Amino acid sequence: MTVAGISATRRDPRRLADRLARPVFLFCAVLTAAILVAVVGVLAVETARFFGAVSPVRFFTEVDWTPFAEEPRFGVLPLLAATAQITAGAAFLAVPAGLMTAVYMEYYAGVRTERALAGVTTMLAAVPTVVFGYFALTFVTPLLRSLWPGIEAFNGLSACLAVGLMILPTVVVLTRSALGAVPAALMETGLALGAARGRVVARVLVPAAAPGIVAAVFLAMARAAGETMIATLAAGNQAHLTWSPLEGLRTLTAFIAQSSLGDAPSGSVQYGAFFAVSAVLFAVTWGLHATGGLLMSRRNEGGVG
Amino acid sequence: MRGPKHARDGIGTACGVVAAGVVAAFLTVAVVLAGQAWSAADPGFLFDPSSRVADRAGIGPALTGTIWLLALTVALALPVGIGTAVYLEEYAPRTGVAAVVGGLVANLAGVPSVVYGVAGLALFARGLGMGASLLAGGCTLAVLALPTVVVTSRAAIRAVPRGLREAAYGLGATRWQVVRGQVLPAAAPGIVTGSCAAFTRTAGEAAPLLVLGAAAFMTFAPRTPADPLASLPTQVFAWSTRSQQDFAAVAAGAGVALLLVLLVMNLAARTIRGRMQGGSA
Amino acid sequence: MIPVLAAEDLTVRFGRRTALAGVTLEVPRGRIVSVIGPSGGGKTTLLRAFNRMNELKPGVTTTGTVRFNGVDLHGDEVDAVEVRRRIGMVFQQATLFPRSILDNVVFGPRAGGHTGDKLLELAEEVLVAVGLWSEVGEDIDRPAMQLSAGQRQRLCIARTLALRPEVLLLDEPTSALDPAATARIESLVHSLKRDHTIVLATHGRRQAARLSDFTAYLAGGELIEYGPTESLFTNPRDRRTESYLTGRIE
Repeated sequence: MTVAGISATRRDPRRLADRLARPVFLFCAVLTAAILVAVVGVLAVETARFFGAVSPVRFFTEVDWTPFAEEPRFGVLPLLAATAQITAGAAFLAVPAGLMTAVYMEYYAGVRTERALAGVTTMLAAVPTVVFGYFALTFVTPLLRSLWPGIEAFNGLSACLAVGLMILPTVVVLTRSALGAVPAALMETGLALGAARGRVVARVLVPAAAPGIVAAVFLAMARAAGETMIATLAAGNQAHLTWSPLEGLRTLTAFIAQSSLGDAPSGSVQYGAFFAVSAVLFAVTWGLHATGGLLMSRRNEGGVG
Repeated sequence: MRGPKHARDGIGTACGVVAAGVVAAFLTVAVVLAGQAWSAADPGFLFDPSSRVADRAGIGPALTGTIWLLALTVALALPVGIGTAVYLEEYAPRTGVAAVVGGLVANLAGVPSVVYGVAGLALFARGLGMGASLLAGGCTLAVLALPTVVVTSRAAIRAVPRGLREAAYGLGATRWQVVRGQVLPAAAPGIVTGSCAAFTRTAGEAAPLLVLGAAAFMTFAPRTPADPLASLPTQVFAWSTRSQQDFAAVAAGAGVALLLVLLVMNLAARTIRGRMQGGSA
Repeated sequence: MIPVLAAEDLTVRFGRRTALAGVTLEVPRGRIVSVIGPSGGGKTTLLRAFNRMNELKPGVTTTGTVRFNGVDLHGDEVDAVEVRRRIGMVFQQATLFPRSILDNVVFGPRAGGHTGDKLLELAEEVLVAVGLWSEVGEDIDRPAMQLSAGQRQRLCIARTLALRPEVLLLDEPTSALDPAATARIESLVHSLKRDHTIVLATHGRRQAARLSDFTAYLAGGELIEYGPTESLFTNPRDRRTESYLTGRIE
């Protein structure tokens, strides 16, 4: 006899399933955690080993990146600067364009136009980055060179344009969600007070959504900084410090992707350099992404308006 | 309610022009790609192996490789990702280790794919001795997809109404019965949508596969996961770097084939989702 | 005689918030006990403590004891899932499973591993009991979501009855319903008294007066007063109870 009919009936098959389910799900979670710890761990270990051979001070201050030269130099600054340039350039293009497209979709477009624009955004987001890289190299660059004869075959400008187009959907989608969180009553109140639609948008709605929009910018920049194929195909492989967008650049990502890392022997200082550069890239994108995520969650907690 | 949207003013016009520009940019990409690919189009292109002569080059091995990679990625990342999401949402306490893991996973979704490639090289290709194989590529892409699958699955599970869980618990259902009978069916459409987006992204990835040492030139179609790593994205890359105009056409052809694979996958996911929603109504 | 349910110095906290503070109360067999009080006063928490639903929320701590037929509900041998089958609960929000009426009714027995034709007989029996059998024209394969709000809540009661529980916990079952549907539920609750012990949390003071044998007044997580319904309503001993009953506290 069971205790008042409320004790567990241990032989019940559904109890067995219930007792098995928890460890199975726990196993999945532990596996996920273990894999991700292994990813971070292997970067950390190899980076630490690299810094045993190359001084971190020199790594972060020198301006020569010639890892495969006879006397290799490991100054990461040119790569870091190139990544910063591509990221800033892409954001400079994509943020205003994305913001304005989002504003148009939210406050001006008719239902059909809005749907068509949403479709274009979705398709743009699904295009593999290597296809954008191809587009930059075979269409944008020749176009730029016909307009601007002095431009190099590999240049930062072409990459900026393509990366900007690539991160545009991120800006549009996240900005729309930020604008969508602004109470509709604000628009009605503004219009009822006799303000023009554009004025309400520019003075009330966009400012109210600003934290979410800023978050969108950070998340888009994280994607731009980590973009590899466009930078590899269009920006080139000259690791040198330059301010000119018309010259070739080599980003952190392009160095990793292009140097046929598969051939570098494990344990060599060159092999370590890939991990050190990856770690820098990891830190940069993690910082951008975490900042964006933080702003996003703060927006969700605080509400808008 | 957004009110009537037809009203126009300076800001609206400016925004409209920019939006039109975005559409134009997208169409330019599409037209350039399609125009180039057109000249590569012939029946043999889909099945022929790669070649040093552009005219005879095909995407047979690359296409097979991408399908292999996609299957491996889904098979590895989907069960583990959904299982992790279920654990974090339905079993784990909201605080402590589980919460920290949840937060880390969310941020790892933002780490660039090329970094996963470097980690995959050390862990799978060299650490586990998989070499530059499809299996190493599949494992690396699965790790890349995992955070996104977890994050979107968690969001879908969290969106399941509380009342549904409570009603089932209140009627004496076990936790497993609640998860299997209520939570997963209700969350399934969201999980499919989110995971599909993740796999669309990984299937188009070239960077991590390049790092692993993907073959640019393969004369036979891979038959097992132990065969050398070939894929459409890396094939597009390899042909794009050739300076001859002929290779620009086959690169575009491979790019269009890649887009078609992604399209088919998204249509399949949409069908599955439609069935699910039809079945539960 | 042992009371069906007995709470002793029961305290429930959600994180730092105390939802129930040292409540001691006994529910006698075969009676209707109503729990009244302002929103957030602890009515729902008390009901959920009776069938161990509180522990499903994160960060909850429970101290004190709850006994069911004299057995400690939190004892080692006791299984929360079985507790919920013996002590059925109907929630404020009538949440139906997005399936057929039949699937909803037999959810509990099925979850308990029962199958076969007996389920159909059971479904008919409980649907008749709540007065839905004739209303749905015996077509129990149609989607449950087609039912009206009042019918939904009666379906929720029916699927709880299908567990053949000893106790029914009804958490404001009429708060979302119109007067006509409310009246139907009230007469149903009255008829269920024959075979069940019922604990009814309610916002409606009149509903408590109409239906229950005993009434508990909960405010701020404390049990202010508990006694036979008639004497509590006509002659409250505590001034706070009096203020609530006369409508000075909402």
